[in-house]
Amino acid sequence: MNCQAFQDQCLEGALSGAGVEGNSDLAAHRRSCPACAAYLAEMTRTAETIRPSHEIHASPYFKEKIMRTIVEMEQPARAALGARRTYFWKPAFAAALLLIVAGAAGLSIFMKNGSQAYALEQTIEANRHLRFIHMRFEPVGFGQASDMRAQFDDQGNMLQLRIDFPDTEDGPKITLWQEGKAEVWLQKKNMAVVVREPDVLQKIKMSVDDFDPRRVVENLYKAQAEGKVSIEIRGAKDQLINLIVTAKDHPALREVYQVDKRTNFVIQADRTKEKDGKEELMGRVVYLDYNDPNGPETLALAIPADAVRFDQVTHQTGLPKGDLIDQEIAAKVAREFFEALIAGDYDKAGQLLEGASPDFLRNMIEGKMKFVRIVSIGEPHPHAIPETHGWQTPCQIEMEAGGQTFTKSFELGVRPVYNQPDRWDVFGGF
Amino acid sequence: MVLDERPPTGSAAWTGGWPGTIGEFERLVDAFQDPLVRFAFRRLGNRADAEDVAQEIFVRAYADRRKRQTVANVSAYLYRMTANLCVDFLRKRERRKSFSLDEAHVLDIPSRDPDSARLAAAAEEVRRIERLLSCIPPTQAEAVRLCLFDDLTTREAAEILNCPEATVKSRVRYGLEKLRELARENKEDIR
Repeated sequence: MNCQAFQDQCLEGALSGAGVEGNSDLAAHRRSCPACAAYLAEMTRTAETIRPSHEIHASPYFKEKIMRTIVEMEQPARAALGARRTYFWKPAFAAALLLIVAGAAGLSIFMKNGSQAYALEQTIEANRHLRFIHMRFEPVGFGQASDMRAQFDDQGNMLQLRIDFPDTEDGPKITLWQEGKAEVWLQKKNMAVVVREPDVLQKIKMSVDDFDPRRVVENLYKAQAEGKVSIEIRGAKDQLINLIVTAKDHPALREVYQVDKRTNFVIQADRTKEKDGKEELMGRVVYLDYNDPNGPETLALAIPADAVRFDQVTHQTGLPKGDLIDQEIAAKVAREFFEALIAGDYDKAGQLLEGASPDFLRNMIEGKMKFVRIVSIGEPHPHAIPETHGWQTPCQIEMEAGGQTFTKSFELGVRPVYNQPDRWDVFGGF
Repeated sequence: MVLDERPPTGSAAWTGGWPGTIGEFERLVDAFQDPLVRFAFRRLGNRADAEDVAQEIFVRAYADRRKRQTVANVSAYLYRMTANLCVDFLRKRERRKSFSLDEAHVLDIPSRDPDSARLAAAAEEVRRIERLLSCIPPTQAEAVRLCLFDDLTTREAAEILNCPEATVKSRVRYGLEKLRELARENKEDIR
């Protein structure tokens, strides 16, 4: 065997990492040719460098989602055929449902030993007076910690919630939910967005159950009678108490709650997994401050005055759909948007562009381009990106820029305003 | 759930033809849900997007089942459909880069799901690897993905790419050699 043949044939060994020992000709050549041995080693190393190391699986409810869709597709067809028997995907559906319930409950859950409830009852009592919490999510092995602050009323209802994400694909981001609205501050883009969010707590309920210390501990207590986990208490005589919770069904997974004995508050919650006989930390929540009297002040966002604003709360955004069908409102919004730009009415154009501030549009357009007249507004068609749930309206606009007059074609995206399905606006830029 | 021992999946678990009944279809989902989600994840870097793509494939596969009865290699066909849909998805993602409120991700909440940190690390790994693969021609990069990411043989990769096995081998070889050269030029570990 010569070097060329070796290099042609050693690829499978390099890809699998198994080498060429299984092939006597290749193995013999490798032993006799240092250059080819080095080639194989380098190719193997290169392959290893780009071979993903993380195993990925579909989430537990993935199959259930597909099968439900399939069954739904099937049912109208059967109905049309007048079939009396309805297909019912029972066993798999039930199993998937169980997985969903288990997933929703997470591990933060069930304990059994009533004699060990002392710390929990005291913690529950302490949490009754919870009005403000500052905590930090600490991911393991990747990303940066996220800071979270929340304010509650005396019934434990969340009034305000602020999360600081230091590292997103849009740069640092802060989100504040309060009084039926959400404010998002994208620092790197110098952009602030305010949208209506009337039932945010319902939407994020699962997450709140996972981090709100009052709910976390009450869930533990409530589940105590169900005997689904064991709980071990360590360090009861010390200042810090560790509650080690192990679920019966997942003995390799644990949660460790560190409780400050002076205040009875949970100050840290770790989620761990046993792997190869060792405890591996999966994630941590650190409860930094309980009831800091100055805490509520730290919830406010300090958005610079020159930030680009998209405000869908203070001002009415979009146009009412009324009795129009989707295509009609999509065409109407597009027409009125361009009419506003032609008239230099940036208040109205901004109102139609996701609540953009008039200054944002003025700075973008004035002195750079001019919208002269609408040449045509075409028939809207479903948006090329179905997840937007919008329409695209073909528009031809006569414009002036750089001393030239020309006709430009736009495919203007139009869809219902976020959380205001009866109003429609322009989205996705133009 | 991540560490569970699982039965064989993908082409190793599917030797039959295109499924015709819901029961057969459910077996197809069992066999291919993990491989296709993994396949899409390693191209899109996000499990939610990967599951959207894989779900679309399965739903299309069912909707078109009567037309697909003549498909000889179900596995290759599903992978090919997934690869195409991932390309479409990435194009759309690119187009979406003009401003939209969607960017604000109003409902983002950190998760304590043990899977989330692992998925985030996996996503970062995908980005790192894709940066490297962007340095070689796309046809070579795709052959490398199939053989290295998806643990397919060069013959299976050839069926998916609809080209001779020798072509796949040469694409993988030249792709790896180019990456090896880049590592040498940079005089550093390309990790």
